[in-house]
Amino acid sequence: MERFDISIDDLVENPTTRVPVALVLDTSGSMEGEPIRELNEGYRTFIKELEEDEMARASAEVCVITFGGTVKLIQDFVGVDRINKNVVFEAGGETPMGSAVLLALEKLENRKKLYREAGIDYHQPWMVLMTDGKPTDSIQEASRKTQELLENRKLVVFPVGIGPYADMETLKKFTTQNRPPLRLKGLKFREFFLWLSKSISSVSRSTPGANIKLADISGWAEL
Amino acid sequence: MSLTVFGFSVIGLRNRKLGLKCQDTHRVWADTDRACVVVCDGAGSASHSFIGSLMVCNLVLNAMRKEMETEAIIRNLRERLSKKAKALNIDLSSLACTLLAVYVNKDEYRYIHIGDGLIAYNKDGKIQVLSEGFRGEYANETVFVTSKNVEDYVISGNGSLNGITTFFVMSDGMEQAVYDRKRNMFGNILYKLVNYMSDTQDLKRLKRFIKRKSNMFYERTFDDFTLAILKRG
Repeated sequence: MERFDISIDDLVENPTTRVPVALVLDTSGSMEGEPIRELNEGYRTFIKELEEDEMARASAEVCVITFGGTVKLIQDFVGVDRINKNVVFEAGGETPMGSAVLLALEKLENRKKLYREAGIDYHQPWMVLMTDGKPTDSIQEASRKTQELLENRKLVVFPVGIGPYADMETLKKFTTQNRPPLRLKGLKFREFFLWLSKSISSVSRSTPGANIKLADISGWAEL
Repeated sequence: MSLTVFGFSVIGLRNRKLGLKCQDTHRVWADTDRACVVVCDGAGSASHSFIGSLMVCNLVLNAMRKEMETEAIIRNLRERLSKKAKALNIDLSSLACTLLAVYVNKDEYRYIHIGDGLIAYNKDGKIQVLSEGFRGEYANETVFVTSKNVEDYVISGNGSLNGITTFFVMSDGMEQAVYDRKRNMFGNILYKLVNYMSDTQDLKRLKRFIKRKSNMFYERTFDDFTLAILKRG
């Protein structure tokens, strides 16, 4: 075509649609030993899998909050390329789950605000809540806020119990009837995080109106 | 003033990799002083959306040529799609697609928009948005022709051309590549295409050229992408 040519410069560059994911992880004293080692291993696998997936790497934004003694913001929301890979979770202290969830909800809300201000499209935010025990602080406010968001379809929560002493009744307060909390099979953190990265990948590839089919959970969940 | 129409649909990288069909469809038509362009984007989640988008494109083009009222067009669409779904033994939602259409008759225009994607026009040398359609808070939320209470989400309008020289009707995949929402700016490609439409009669060659350039679009969108242009003069 002699008089006509187009190049990439003739197109605009819009930011990739984001998938914000908050990990709220129990690192209380009861996680000491093999559970915390497996959690660390699983988390590293999670980051590696996201890095290796072209769409997930561009879309996923991850925030990590732990609750073990105190609530710690280990990683504020960043894209996959900027996640601190040298994080090592350490177990200790009580289980302030309520405060951790409240911090996660605040971080998610702030992130959405930032997306809106920057004109960035985003998917429904996700919160993963993992615990091996019972909360040692009040969860009333955290549960109420979470339920409100769930009711308005403004949040998706994946509550996961670790081991036989995880209080599944408490976890139920952070989810809906059609997405009940699941118990981790043994210490299959790695399998759980592989599933999570695959699911994030599915969301990042989804088209408008699509019902997103999540990956099979049988590898990590007790069914 | 003569009217020229041009359009193309290209399968996105995602559907190509999955071995699926292109779920976008477009139809363009023009005679001496009337013209119509229609774009439909089949829902990724709907198993037969490529059939839905093809049906809706054809039905809407014919209905607009007959200058049917918008309400009647939507009612007719729903009836025909319901019959098709029944015949195929599938849910109506399996035929889900969006709809964007512009019709021009002499100095007047009208448009219908259901779902996402974008309709824009060029006036005084500047491209501006006519309809951004319906977008929910989240990226995967939109409505389709087959959605419940679709009547509540139909965006339609009409007016005098009054200096408008061109309409651009595009699926959301194309929008992602040519419209900077934050800055409200359009990519240069739209201006270039219009200039080329003025210079040549060989629009088939232009279409082939764009399809050869599809890799360029793949750097901006994984979705199918469709653009239809209606140009005066």
